Amino acid sequence: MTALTTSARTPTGIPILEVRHVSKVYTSGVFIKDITRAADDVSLAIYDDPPVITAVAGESGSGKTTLSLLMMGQLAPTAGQVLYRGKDIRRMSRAERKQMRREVQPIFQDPFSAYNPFYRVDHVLEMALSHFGLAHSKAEASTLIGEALELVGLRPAETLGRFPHQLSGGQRQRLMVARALLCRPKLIMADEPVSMVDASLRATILASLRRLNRELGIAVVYITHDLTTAYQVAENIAIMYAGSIVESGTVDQVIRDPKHPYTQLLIASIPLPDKRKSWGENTKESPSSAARTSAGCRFAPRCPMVMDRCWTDKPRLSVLDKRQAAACYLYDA
Amino acid sequence: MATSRRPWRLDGRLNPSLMWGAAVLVFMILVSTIGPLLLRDKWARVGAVEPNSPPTGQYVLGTDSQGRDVFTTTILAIPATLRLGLIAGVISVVFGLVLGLVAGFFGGAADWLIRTFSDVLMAIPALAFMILIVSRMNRPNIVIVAVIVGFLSWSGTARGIRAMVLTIRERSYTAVARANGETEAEVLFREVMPNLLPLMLASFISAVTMGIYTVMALEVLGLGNNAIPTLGMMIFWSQRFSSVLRGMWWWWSPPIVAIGLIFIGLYLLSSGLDRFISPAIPQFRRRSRSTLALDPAPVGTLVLATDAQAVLQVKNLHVVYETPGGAVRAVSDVSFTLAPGERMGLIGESGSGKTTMATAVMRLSRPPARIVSGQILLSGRDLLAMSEDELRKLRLKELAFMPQAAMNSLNPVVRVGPQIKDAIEVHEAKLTGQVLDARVADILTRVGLRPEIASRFPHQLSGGMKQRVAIAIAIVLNPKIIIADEPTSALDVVVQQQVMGTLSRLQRELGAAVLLIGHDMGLIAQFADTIGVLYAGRLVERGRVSDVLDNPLHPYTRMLIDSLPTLDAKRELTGISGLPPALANLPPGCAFHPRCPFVHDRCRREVPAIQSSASGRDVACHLYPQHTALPPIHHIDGLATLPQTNGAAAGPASLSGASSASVGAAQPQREVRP
Amino acid sequence: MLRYIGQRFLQYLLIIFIANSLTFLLPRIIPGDPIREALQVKAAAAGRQNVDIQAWVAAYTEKFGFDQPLWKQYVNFWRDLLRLDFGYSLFDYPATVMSKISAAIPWTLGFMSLAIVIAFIVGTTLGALLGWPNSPQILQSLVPVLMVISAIPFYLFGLALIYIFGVELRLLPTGGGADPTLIMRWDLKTIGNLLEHAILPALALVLYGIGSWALGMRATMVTVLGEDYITFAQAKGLPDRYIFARYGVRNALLPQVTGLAISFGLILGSGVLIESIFNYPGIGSLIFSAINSKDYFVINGTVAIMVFTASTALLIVDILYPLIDPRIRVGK
Repeated sequence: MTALTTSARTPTGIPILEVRHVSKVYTSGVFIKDITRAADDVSLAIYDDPPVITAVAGESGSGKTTLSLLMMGQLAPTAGQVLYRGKDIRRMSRAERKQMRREVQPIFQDPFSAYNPFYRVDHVLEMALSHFGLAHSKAEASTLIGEALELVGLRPAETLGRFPHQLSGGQRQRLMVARALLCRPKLIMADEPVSMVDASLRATILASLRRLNRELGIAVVYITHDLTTAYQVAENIAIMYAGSIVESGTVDQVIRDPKHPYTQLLIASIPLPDKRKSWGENTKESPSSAARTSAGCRFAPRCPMVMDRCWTDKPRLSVLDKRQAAACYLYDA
Repeated sequence: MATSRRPWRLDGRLNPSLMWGAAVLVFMILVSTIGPLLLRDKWARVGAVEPNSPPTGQYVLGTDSQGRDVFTTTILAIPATLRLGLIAGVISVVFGLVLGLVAGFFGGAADWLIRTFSDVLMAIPALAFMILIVSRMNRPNIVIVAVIVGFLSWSGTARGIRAMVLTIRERSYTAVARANGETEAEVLFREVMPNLLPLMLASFISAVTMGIYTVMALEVLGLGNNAIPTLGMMIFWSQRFSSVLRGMWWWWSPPIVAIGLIFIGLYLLSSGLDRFISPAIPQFRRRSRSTLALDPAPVGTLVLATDAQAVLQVKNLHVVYETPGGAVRAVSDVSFTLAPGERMGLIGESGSGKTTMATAVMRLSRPPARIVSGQILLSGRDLLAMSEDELRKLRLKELAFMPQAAMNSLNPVVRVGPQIKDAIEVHEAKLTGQVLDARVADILTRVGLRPEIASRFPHQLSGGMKQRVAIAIAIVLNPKIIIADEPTSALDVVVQQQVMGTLSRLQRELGAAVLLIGHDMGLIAQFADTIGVLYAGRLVERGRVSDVLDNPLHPYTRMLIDSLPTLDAKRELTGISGLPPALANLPPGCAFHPRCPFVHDRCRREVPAIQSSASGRDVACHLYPQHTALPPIHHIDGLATLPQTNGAAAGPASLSGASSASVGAAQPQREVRP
Repeated sequence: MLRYIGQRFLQYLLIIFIANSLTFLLPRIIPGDPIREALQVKAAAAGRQNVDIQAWVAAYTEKFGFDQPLWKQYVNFWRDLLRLDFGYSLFDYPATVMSKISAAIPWTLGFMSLAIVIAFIVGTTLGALLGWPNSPQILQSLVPVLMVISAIPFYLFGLALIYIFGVELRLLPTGGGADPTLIMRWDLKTIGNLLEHAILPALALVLYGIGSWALGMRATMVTVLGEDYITFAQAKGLPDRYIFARYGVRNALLPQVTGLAISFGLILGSGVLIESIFNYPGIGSLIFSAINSKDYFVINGTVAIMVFTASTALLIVDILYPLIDPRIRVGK
């Protein structure tokens, strides 16, 4: 079962971007094989009708970045399919690939390394327009850039013509969003877009993402480790742990009533800025060395409700109701 | 990676090595070009003049045994040598660049092939091979020799280029370029190559140096071309005719001086470029042997009473950064008190000066940071008036430090155990090995680690474990106060909660005070008892955590809290408009005024002083004491609106919102907190 | 780890194979007859005018197998190489190349090793002190001096040294390995004489070495002292001197040591130049005179030895470094 069936609004048509049972396995060593499962049998579908903001949340090592690379076609899966508008990306023609390239735009985490220090920041905006043939004259380009900047809350006079190190982190990140916009995307893949930005500046960037979604109908995949921003920004959420999706559903449902023990642990560990809210109660300290289980549920070594079955068989994502699915034997039908 | 684009400027000043190196080389090149023109008619003819003559008026550097004027020969030899070096250098660099690019950019089989090829070449001493080849040639064409030298020495360049290409590939901007639709070739030429220019230049200089060196070595060994005078051939001839033994110093010293100048120029140029490519990390500070020399406190500074009970009292602390453009105020007039066992959080975003604060309190500030004035009283004793020695004794024993995510704070090549032991030994001498081991095992267990960890190296531990080791070191001597500088910012949220839980428990057991510095309001809210808010190097608000959270007095604090996403209900995301403060370029008056919805004239002129209220709250804002709480903030599009221009000129009284209301008042478009 | 060593060793063998094959091939590609050229020199040296060069060349060619097909020569080459048989010296026939090399090597290894070790110890110590900001300011004035010293090729220094000490001041001999009239015995007189002759060449090397080691160590120290763990060590209250030694120098030594190993690998190459200036009877002079007399077998043999020492040194470094750096030695 996939996140397909657990969303706030019922999607229509085929998903714009979908991964079906994708895995990415890295092996190292010639004689002694060392296996790392960066992504393990993950299925996720993103629709653009209606366009929704989907959060993929997990900590480092959960596989969320790998998943985003797989979805964008930057990484080839060791198993499974990646489908763009229903077509397997390995079988796409050159024209189709170019279309996907334009319609699926990334936003990266680090606002500094996303800019080539050799050029002014205009370079990255102008390149977008010229490569996709979206502007036919300098004047048109100027207008389009101006509009995009306004949409993200930047003033051209303050930002254009500067070098990256002359702008603040927040400005650079907003400019990245503007760049993505210029390509007229159908989907924006935002990989931790605000984690390296100050808390007081995050809102503007996240608000622009929301605006893009609502006003321009762009679907967004919001990858993050921060559940609080995920809750505020996204409609649907998928929680990842050790390469698999362990819980998914609408943000309201998953956050208010988490079913998977890991999600519960995650939410309980978030320090909320209110002393009256609890922090980390009822959480068990994880053992200092967790044994690597190759079979069974990956969370078993840390799970306070682990059963015998968890060690031997890996639970699959099962739908609990219209708005939530979890991969845990506690809820197995 | 270089952040500025002009190599001749380093930290805003002229790059000395680069300039000197360039000067020397330009001089040599001038000599090479102008010299021969001037001497054309005085071409060093063999037998032109009496041989073996020491310097005289007419022959400034004497003559050699062939009767040639040494001065002329030297001047003509310089360009010849430079040319050969250039040939070898150009070939070597071009080859190295292409192969390094291919290996780094395309990877895979090409990379492996090139790397193996380069390893083989590096293992073969170039000189040996050149000897092998050139010894077979009669009257070798020295240009061909230079070419072959170039072909044998590209490995160094290739390695450097490859490494840099790999680094650049990690940077997101290549991915952004691809997302923009650039083809691989475009990414290579337009994005990667321009950033390779400084390295290419440095490699070129290196290659030329190597080329000149190798060709000269061959010539000295007798493998050069007799017909062309170069500096190397001059040395060879002078040796051939035993000039040294015959005391003809004027023959062999000029070429040595010339070649020395060439190499020194090249070395300075390359070392100047190196400093541009990888800018120096701020250095280990120069310790002053005596007490810190401070400037007198600025006029009008509030002098606060010394609290005898306090474990830490910071009074009017000023820290500046010395930059080429002048002194930048990183911490301005910060004062606060910490009672024994109290947990205080200092929150600040970028440009707040919080990291400077942390190191300053420990007196670990590194240049260009400098503590200018103030007092830091640890149980009544001023740290700023102590000598290095006294400070050293205090550190860890009374004042402990927990650094940012202990990733780099532990010595990577020393095991964990010895790093804990040396801390103990330095303060409590004369402990036997067994006792020490027991103490180490004990402290590790107390922080939730297995004692076996002591025999591990830092890289074998996870982030959480390393942080626990840092906690262990911090508490092992029962200090009175622990300064924790963003201790968990690199940790996952689950690990963070566990580590902070451990710290919490231990702190209570020890009764130590904690100063927790960070940017995560949630973390500080949960852990600390009191909170101080830093903005642009000043403490703008201070008070008990629950008070400040429920009723923030300073507009910055209010807007900061409002911008924090919570899990209660979905609401509009709000932030603070404008840019974070640039410490080097602060606006006059209150640093926050450009972004403040309640700004009025006074704010633009006068820096607000900290005012204390009876309930233990401090705030630095011109709205007070006329107001008792903040008026409501209106948001449009997620940003607070600035007041209308009409009526803003009057004082605080014109602002909306009555003075008596608003403790936790409901704001428009916002949900009331339960 | 073992896998890495095995891989590296295989690469080492590959390098030796390729390098020696090149040693075999390159001289044979270049036009001209090496035997003829060598014998011509020899004939000229002996002063014989009307010797029958042709017959002589033919005899030698046949004797040394130059008339055989190339592939057969290649096989013979490897067979001989593995037995360390480099053939005969053309100029000093019937002396074997190996005998000449073995006579020369001890001289070179002896004084070069000494020089390198002294330069390394002094240079690294100096560099460490220069990298420590609390060292006396006066030391810092040495830096430009060191820059100049390390910029000038060391063998050119040698010339100046010979002139000053040998010719003008007449304190030390101007060349050679030992007094020609000396009878070598294990006594003080012999050792004294040997040292006397070795001082100047060693000094040239040592001065240069100190310059370059010191500057290298200083750079590494500056980097190491800028690391976070140094700040933390200070925060622990450790004394400056302790931090400098255990945390600073100790960490900076690692890259320095690999540099040392590489130096040893290039020992023969550096020796070539200095010995030719000083007429010191080591490998360097051997090559020098072989170049003059076009004694190709000697040249080939010495080059083979040089390649061998250089690649072995690199192999040792590649295996040694992971062993001394715990970050690589001990995995997760």
